[in-house]
Amino acid sequence: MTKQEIQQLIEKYDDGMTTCAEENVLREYFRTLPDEEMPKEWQAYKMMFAFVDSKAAVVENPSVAKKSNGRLTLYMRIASIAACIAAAVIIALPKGNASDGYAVLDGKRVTNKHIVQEEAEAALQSVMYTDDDAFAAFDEL
Amino acid sequence: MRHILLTLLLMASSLTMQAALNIDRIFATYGHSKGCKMVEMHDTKMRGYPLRTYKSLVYKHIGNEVDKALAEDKRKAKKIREVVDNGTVVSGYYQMPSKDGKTNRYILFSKGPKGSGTLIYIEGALKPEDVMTMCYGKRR
Repeated sequence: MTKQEIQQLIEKYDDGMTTCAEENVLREYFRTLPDEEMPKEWQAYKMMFAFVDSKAAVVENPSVAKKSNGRLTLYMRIASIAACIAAAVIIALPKGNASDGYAVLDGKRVTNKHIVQEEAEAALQSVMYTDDDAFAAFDEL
Repeated sequence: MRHILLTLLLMASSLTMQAALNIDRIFATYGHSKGCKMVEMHDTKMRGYPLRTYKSLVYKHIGNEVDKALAEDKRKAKKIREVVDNGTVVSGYYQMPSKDGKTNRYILFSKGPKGSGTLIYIEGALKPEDVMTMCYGKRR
């Protein structure tokens, strides 16, 4: 299938207009396409289909499949949305402690506020350069 | 709805890729090593300037590794200020591209003898002039 055809199927999928067979085509496509050939804009779809695949394997049940007529069940839709939100939040969250500071001195972690502040101040002090001529050059920039 | 979530996911990935700095690797690799002093603070104040993030690493022997990371980050810097002494860069700061268009990010550094030095990463609303005043205020 060409990239253009896949793109059309994706758009149809986003509109909720795909048939079961078309969704299978998309699922198979994203499952088998190597990562290095995957266009960047489709990576999220790959993740989503992989997630849906894993859930589908768990809940595979003929009665459920019949009821949903091959479409995603409500549970799976909610779960996939939750997975997308969780992934987005995890990626976007800054790493490290939210507000508490700490220092690691020769491999030992210290959380004493005063020591942390002193070490931070000392580090800042040490980036100060003491040559007046050099600072004159800074001013010219 | 699905479209919005996917866009959100892609935006978050893209922001993370833009935000990544090579010096992050230095903090992560050497921050807990002997001979190094690392400090990390969030939502703090330094010399009266509010900072969202402050990270520093004072090191004794890893100058070569730090230099490599700094050279890579320098290529992406928006603004570069360096103090050169006898043909060698000994101190300076790089302003890095903002993550969100509002918060400024800076890498400050100084190099000492035998691979020693100091590396600082700060993130906040402060402008380049504020960095100069904060770090070099006594001289200006």
